[in-house]
Amino acid sequence: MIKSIVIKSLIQNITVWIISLIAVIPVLLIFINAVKTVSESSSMNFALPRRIQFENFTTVIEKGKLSHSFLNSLMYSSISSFVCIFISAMAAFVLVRNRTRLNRFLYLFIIMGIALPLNYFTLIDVMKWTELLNTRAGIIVLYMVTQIPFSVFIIYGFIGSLPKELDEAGVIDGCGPKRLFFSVIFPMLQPAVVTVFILSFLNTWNEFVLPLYYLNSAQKWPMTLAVYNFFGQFQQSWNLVSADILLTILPIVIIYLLGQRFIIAGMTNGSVKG
Amino acid sequence: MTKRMYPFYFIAIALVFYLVFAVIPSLMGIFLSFTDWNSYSRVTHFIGFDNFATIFSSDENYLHGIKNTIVFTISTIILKTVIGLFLAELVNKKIKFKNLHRVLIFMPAIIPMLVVGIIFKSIFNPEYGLINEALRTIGLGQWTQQWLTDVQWAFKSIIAVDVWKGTGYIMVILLAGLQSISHSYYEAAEIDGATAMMKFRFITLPLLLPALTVTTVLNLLYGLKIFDTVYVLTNGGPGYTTDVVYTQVFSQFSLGSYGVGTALITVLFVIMTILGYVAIRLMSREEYNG
Amino acid sequence: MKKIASTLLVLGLVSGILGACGTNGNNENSNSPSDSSANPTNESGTSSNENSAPAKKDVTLSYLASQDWIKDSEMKLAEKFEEQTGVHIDYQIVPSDQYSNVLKAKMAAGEAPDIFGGQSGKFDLGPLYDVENNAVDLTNEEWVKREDPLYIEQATWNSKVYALTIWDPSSSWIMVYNKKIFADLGLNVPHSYAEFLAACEKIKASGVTPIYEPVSDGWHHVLWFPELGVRYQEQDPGLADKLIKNQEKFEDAAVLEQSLTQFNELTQKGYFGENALSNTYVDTEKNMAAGKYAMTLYTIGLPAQIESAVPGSHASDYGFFPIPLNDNQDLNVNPAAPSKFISSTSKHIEEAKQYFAFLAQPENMQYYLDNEPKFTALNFPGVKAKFNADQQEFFDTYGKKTGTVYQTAINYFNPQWTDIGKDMSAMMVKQLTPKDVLKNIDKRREQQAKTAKDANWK
Repeated sequence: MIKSIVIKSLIQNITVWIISLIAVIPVLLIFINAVKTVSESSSMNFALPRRIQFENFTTVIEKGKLSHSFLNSLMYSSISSFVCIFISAMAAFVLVRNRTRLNRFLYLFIIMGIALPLNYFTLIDVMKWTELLNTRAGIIVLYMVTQIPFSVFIIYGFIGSLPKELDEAGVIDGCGPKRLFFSVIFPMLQPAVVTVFILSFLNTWNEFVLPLYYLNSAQKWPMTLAVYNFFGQFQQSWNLVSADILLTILPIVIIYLLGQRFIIAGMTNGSVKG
Repeated sequence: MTKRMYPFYFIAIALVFYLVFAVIPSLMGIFLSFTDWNSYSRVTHFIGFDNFATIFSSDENYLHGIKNTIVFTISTIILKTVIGLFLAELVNKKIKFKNLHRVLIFMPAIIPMLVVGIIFKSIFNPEYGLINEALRTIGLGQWTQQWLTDVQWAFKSIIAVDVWKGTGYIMVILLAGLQSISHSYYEAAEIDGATAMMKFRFITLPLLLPALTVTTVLNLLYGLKIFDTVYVLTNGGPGYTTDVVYTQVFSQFSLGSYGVGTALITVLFVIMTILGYVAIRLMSREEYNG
Repeated sequence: MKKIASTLLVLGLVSGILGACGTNGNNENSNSPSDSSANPTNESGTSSNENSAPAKKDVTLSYLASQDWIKDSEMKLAEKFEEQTGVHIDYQIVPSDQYSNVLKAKMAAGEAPDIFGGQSGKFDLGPLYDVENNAVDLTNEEWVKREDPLYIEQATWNSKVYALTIWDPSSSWIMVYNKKIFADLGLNVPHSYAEFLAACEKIKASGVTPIYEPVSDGWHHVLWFPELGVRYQEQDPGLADKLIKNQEKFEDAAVLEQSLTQFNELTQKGYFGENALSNTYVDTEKNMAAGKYAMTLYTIGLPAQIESAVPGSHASDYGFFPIPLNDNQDLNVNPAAPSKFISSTSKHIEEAKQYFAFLAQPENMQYYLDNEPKFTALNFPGVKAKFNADQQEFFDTYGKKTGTVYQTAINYFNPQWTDIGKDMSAMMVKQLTPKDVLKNIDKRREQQAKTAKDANWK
């Protein structure tokens, strides 16, 4: 009996290791090939490099316009996620607390956006009218808009679990709606907000189609497009491509590792318990 | 009090953005899909249902794209759910480094698809790619394939990459669902002498239904909108084998027939609106019950 | 915390107003249609560039181009240009299979970059790039008088010149073969399709893949078909005219079906090897040098490229012969090539013209050619070409009879290049027949001709 439990647990441990390995193999592959020479990396495999080529990274930073695009990505992802969370939380707050017929309809109407396919053709016209085409502000607004439905959905569920007595206490203390929301409610939303922030930050950081079509200057390109551009030019040098990829995904991997607790906890709260 | 404390402008900010940049383009798109809008002339004419007739005519390839999109959606729903559930069960057990494994398995979800595409194009390369080299090394040379360029394999490879990337996400949601099931049910069942299979069938599955609904809806909406995975791996090739609706939309872009392109999006829009409505109704109901 | 919160809220509101109401305040976009500067008949300030000492300015020109169109030597020249004038060129290189998508999308939005790359072609400038609206008229530039008139013809639309072409006139697509492999197997240069097939069979039997064909780029394998324009003309005189006037369909032209069928035969007999569909163009040198492939369809500059890319290889190990489909023995010439256009919406049209004038200066041209291993000559007289013995011999043998390739000779063909590429890939994986491919070409030509209101299509 004990023996069979040990074997069972051994099998489980081995299985889970194999699966974890499959999940990270591509990243490891990039990691190893990023420090090889061109010829060593011509077939991407796990053979170790003869000498670690750190200079690949300096080459890549110079040629790949990485510092520029890093700042762009950081700006696009953080501003759009921040603003999105604020306006989504404000909307979700009123939608939860004041469930009129209209508001219930508006809630459904907004979260239908999760399903809405983006129309890239006509969006160009809208961007032109609003003078946002080819601007950083424009791309930030677009990212923000694409994240609104999902953010409202998660925060809506979370606010529902906050007792309404909080609001009443606030009113008795003489709060207006703005003070009530910003000094009482919003701080209580912290777990949901962190989750939404991380998820929308990651989504935005990884997206590439919107800037490809709606930004026309390489100066404004985010990191994903910089990789695309780089791959176009250096397709033969897999070591440089790998180094470029590694530097691109490093920030998100770090954010992910730091925030993984919130991602997992937050997704649980928002999407399952509601 | 509600009127004063919950002012409409709190909703209005998000709503206006959403209307201007998501809803209006979609409505314009529906209108323009009844016109001959194209890149060669500056005026457009109303042409009724011609674009839709083109899409649904058997001479063209669009039905193939729609079919592929549906195949993709259904197979990723099934694979991601089954594998995700298996993994959730696995990392919910008493294994070592539980947290580490969860973190690692979720990891593919955060890698940009563009990067995933570049890496997997190399991994799938028939000549020097990792998979074929590994197969040859362990003496299974006859199993090597043209993963992305063989008609039989290309779409399967795309689905595999997508499952690789998306399963961790599904696993986490299902894991949360598993953890919300009280242990007392299992203990009671054990006293009654239930087998592992019975426990799964009669306790886990029914109580996991809300979480499974959520993952199915997410997978469904994601699958129908699929573009980036195909775009970065094959861009519809070889030939037209792996075209999905959105890759066809973008080729209409380059051909300059915006009318047909936007009509394709409209077809997708109608399907998604119906499915999305049903799905959101489902999710909202779960929310009130849970 | 509260302060940050309210600041962000304000920020959100501000951009909300911007987004919703479309106030004209924000001027960061380069999109405002500058009608005055875009006026194509702008005669002043074109030739005066070199006379007046250019003041340094802080200007960046964005330049969108497909992979492989911008040579390293051009980038070096751009650096020199920046030193002299302070004008920085910002190259945006897009992978070739996506280029037309991206450029089209940007043009549709009226937001093309300052300079954009594009294939020239006398039938295509209108339909493909709508140059009358999107590009600046360059007719009065000084270099127009010096550039090879054949090339100028291809960069002209409604008698106005719209593009600068700096390309290799000897860069026809021909077969480059590995002399050593041929010698070891006792093979001679084939003079007919039958001889070519026999050679391929022998090479394949020896364990070497006969032909390196990079299909994955989406454009290269198309070359086999339209590059034979010279041979089609010989086999069926007047065909090109009939096709242009819509008196004959691609579908009904026997010679066109013949070449596609032969191409397909090469595929199905495995002469392109197993990996053709995933082979990439940029790996050509590497693979040819490794001796794994005996031939490839390339330009006459390939041997020199191999020598410079792969240590230990020699340019003299490679020879040339014309594409052998349809028993072709003549030289195909294509005066349409990747060219540079200036966007009419650019705010820096003068600087862009200045850049073109700079590139076209004879000493810069010479530098460009000398530092570009892929090129052996340039389409500007006075630039010293660098043919070697093999190349000279090739031109002596086959250069007597030349003709224009179909993508340049036939209208409504070049714009659908990538679509034909998809069709031909589908044919390679047996989803379409050669006839289907031709039918699809007819269908797309009709579509384009109709939207262009061509009187020959009704």
